[in-house]
Amino acid sequence: MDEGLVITDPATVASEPPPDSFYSHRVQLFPAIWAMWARREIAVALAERDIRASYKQAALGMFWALLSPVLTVVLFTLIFSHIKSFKIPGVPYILYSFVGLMCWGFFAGSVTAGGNSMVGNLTLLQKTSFPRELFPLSQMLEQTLYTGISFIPLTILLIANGFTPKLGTLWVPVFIAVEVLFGIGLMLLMSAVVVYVRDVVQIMALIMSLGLFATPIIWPLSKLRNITWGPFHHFDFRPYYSVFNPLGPVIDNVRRTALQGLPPDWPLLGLAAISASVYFVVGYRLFKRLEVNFADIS
Amino acid sequence: MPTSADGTIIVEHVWKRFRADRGRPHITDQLAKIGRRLRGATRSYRWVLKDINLTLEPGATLGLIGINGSGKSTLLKVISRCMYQTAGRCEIHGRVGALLEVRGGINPTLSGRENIYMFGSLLGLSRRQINARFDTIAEFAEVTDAIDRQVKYYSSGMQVRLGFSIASHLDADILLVDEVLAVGDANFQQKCLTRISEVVASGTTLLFVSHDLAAVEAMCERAMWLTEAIVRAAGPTRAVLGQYRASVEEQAAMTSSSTTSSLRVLKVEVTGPGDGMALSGEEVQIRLVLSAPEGGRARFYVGVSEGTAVPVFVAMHHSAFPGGDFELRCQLQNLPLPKGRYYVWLALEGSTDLAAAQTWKPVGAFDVFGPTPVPTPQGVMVLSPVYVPATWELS
Repeated sequence: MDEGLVITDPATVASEPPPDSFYSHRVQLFPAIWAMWARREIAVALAERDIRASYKQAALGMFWALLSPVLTVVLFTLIFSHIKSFKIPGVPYILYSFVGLMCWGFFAGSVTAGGNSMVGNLTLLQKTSFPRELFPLSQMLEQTLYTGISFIPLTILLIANGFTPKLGTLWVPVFIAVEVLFGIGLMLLMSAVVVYVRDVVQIMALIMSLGLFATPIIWPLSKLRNITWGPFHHFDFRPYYSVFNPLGPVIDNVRRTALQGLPPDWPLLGLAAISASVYFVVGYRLFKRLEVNFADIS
Repeated sequence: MPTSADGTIIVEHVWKRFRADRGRPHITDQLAKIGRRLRGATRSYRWVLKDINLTLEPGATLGLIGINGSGKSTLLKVISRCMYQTAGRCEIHGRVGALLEVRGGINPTLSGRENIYMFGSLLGLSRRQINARFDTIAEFAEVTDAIDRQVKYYSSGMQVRLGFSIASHLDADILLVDEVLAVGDANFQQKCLTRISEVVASGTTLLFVSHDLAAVEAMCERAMWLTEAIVRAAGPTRAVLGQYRASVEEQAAMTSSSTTSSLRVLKVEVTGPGDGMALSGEEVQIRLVLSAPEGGRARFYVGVSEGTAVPVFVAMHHSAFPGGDFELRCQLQNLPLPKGRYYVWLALEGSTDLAAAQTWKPVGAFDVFGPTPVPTPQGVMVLSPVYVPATWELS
């Protein structure tokens, strides 16, 4: 009856595993991206869940997603359009800042919501095994929808200002690709670190509220072209700024091509693209490295 | 390496540890920790799985038993790839459906319908696959009428049913079930067991964690007993459960003997007819020699269990007893137990100041000889083994 029964005496079990048997979590970047892509439906499902859940009990529903960017841009126009040096010849300030705010809103929304997405989904983290980066990526999808809604007021503004579309608008997807790369990198980095150090949530909020003014949204990037301050004399800060914050040249180029009808500023955008790729690779790799302990820590 | 079929689980020398010094994930704690490490303190760890080996072929069923904190759930999490092992190798082939706490994936603000789609796609189903089983899932969960109602207005039973229903209609190659039957009414529990049996019958590998030994026995061919991070016993379910029950009885005896009970049990004897062995369906005498510091009146409860504190039956006698040694005999007419090892539990209750009062504790063990327990249909559990002689007729 007891055939096949194996009883282990606790005293015979070693107290540590042999050192050569330790598990090392090595994930290559491209296989990881491939595995994530194969399960992309999950990101859609997560985004859908969040959107449905957050607007289900709001009386105005999705209307809120429309209202808040409009109110912000009206406020900004009332305040900042009076500053002469912020103005761009030939483009109404409200259009100028609205386009900048749309780019920023997508980025800041993704990084903030994406950064919080791991700690916000702790129960799912403990019970499912799909690629972890789908949690933050679903937040970026959600922000894509909200940004998409902003095209409604944008179109109204464009028509109201008698704006003629510029051919350079066709370049915009290229610039947005750089922004997405940068956004994913920073988002993955933040979301992974937040699991280990919760304080980063506060730091992230602080960076984002500073970033709104430290990024050329209400002011043009050209303001950094000729800086005289301390040891600097007529110094062109833009290349250094572009490496640090790729979002600067992205927003600048969107406005140059789509609003002003100028050709893209390729050198600065190139720098931004390289920098964004580095952010992406570093962020993604760090995320995959830290994911080993996500379920343990949460 | 030969490729294995979907549904295969190979766990080789798997170890898992957690940090023992886990502070809150706040900067102050982390800085203090870094400070300690700079001063030369090494990290301390707590092993929760030690040298676990386990190989399951497709369609195999394994029950995991053990007391709380013995590592059962951690092992399931490692196998479902929510967690990674610290050392060793873990190879999983095929899609894993995990029922680790069924309400986990259910979102209260969404409707039942939305939850089925949501939870289904998180568990790896495509929208089309969910469409195909939507009605089956809703019907099984018995929520067809409430399908468009927000789940927070469901009763907790309905929520659990919905979660179980989605997770068990996954067509996974491997099904992990962690203590999900503790919730829900008796009807639904049986329905769940039947559903799991169906899933297993279709060739899915089952890993089943439960404190309900009867359910483990009903579901699993083999069992594994974990204590303090190690596998104490592994093998055929009945044999492993026997080992486990014996240890629970020992544990209980140890803890109760350490309490300051003034009643001492000197001898326990269970005998059948003519002082022979205990036989199923025959007369049996339970003889207890007890020693009390002073006399009094009390109710004597004598129970027989399979090892756990839950008895198969209890007999009670209200009587006066003397101080010092005395003998208590309990005569049972027809011993209603099939073959197996059983334990005698004893409790004394009287007026509150009774010096000899004693809480429910095991005092001895005995074997019963006779017919082996009647097998049950797949997926049906027996609460406790009872021997009932039956004659059959078919006309």
